[in-house]
Amino acid sequence: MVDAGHFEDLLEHLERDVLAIDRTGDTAIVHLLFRTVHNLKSSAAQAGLSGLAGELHGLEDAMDRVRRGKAPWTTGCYDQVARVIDLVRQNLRGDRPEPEAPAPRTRAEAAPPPVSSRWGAGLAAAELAACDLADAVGLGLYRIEKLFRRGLDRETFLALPVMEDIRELGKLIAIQPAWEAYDQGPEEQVVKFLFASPRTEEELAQVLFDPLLVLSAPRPQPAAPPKARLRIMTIEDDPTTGLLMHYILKLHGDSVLCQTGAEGLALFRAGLEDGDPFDLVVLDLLLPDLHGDEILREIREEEFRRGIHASGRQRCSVIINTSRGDLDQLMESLKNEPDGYLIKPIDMELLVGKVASLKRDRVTG
Amino acid sequence: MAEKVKALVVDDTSFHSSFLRMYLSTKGYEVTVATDGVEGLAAARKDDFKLVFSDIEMPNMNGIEFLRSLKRLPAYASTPVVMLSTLDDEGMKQKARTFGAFHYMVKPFSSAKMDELFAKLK
Repeated sequence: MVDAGHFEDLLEHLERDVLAIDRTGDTAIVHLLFRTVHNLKSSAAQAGLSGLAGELHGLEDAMDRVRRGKAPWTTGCYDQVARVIDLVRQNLRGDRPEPEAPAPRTRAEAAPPPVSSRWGAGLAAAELAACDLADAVGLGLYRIEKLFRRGLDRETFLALPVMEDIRELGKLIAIQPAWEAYDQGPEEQVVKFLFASPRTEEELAQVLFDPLLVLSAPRPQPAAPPKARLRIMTIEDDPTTGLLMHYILKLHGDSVLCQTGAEGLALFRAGLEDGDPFDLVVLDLLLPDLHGDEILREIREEEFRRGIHASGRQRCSVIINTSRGDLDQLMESLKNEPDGYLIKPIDMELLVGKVASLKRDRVTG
Repeated sequence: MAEKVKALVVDDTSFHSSFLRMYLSTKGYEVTVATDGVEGLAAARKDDFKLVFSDIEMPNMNGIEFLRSLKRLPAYASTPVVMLSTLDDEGMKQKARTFGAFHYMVKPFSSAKMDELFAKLK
């Protein structure tokens, strides 16, 4: 049985949203429109109105393309929505639908689209700078647009899976509106997440489901030229362990030993600056000045700022080492995605095995 | 009296959640309805559901995000989750399977589809 009230509610939403786009030129409203068309389609199919569901499917597809940035919002979209609204009403009244009927209403001239920067309206200077920097180093810039209902508390909002995904896939640059404005905003609203990532649209689509707009695609990184020798750094404050590793690693490349995190980070940055980056850092977690987790984050930040892509060959391999029995710490450190870990006392064969595999990838001959 | 088995339905359209509530009640389930993934996940943490249905297109947290988050909870690692969608798309079905869905049901619902699902669940 057709629940006419339910359909009428959805039609009212549809009319309100299409008029709002026409009035404001704000195509973010297409997300609301898509959802209403989607609900109408599934309701029509559930009510056995298969012909109507087919028409709605066409409109849903068109709206999906607009919300994903694959097609612009045009007068034709407006007419398509208007035609479908009439078709639904005809079905509700039991009239025979006229699929080829011309658009029965006139529309005002669409307002010009709002002026926005290449990256999106209303970005703070620091956010724009982050966009320009990411663009300059060849990272992709993307925007996820996601429909929200008001009412999520700040903690929930900031811990949503979309935030976790962005953290794993790249760097969040801005959220519009920020939580404070979202909390004061309308009952339903579109929130935009702007982020940079070295990954392609296809790679991101494996994980993300919401509409993803490509503002600029990542540029492929040139493969690193093969080197004559590996550059290896050991950051270890215990002299016995440090020297032992240093002497063994010297047999496999240019090895340096640093006893503090600050010294290690300075050398690491100098390597990048001079065009002779380190290939491997063996990192103790408990150092007198900095924690190993902090050093690893700094290393990845530094690489990110220079556009060294996570999947590229140029990224430095970082192996952390920690004490046996400190498994909680190890689990925490693994969140920073090191390339491997060793448990003290160090199994030198394991370490040499890791160095040998790196050597095969990066060293000539 | 034996306690009823609990099922969770996550769908923002009351039209659909009402159908599932009705159908599952006739099968002897006690049904809880959530209207998005955030609510669904909160309900799943509080209760112990033996069967979960989730729509895909939802505000706040979509069905795929909900499925991934739910499957990370040890209590739900082997709980059957049925994804619901109007989209009869192989890519989406594959994605749902990858993230641990037990079944992908294309709307509209019908008793035949539900019977087929319950035969698979046995």
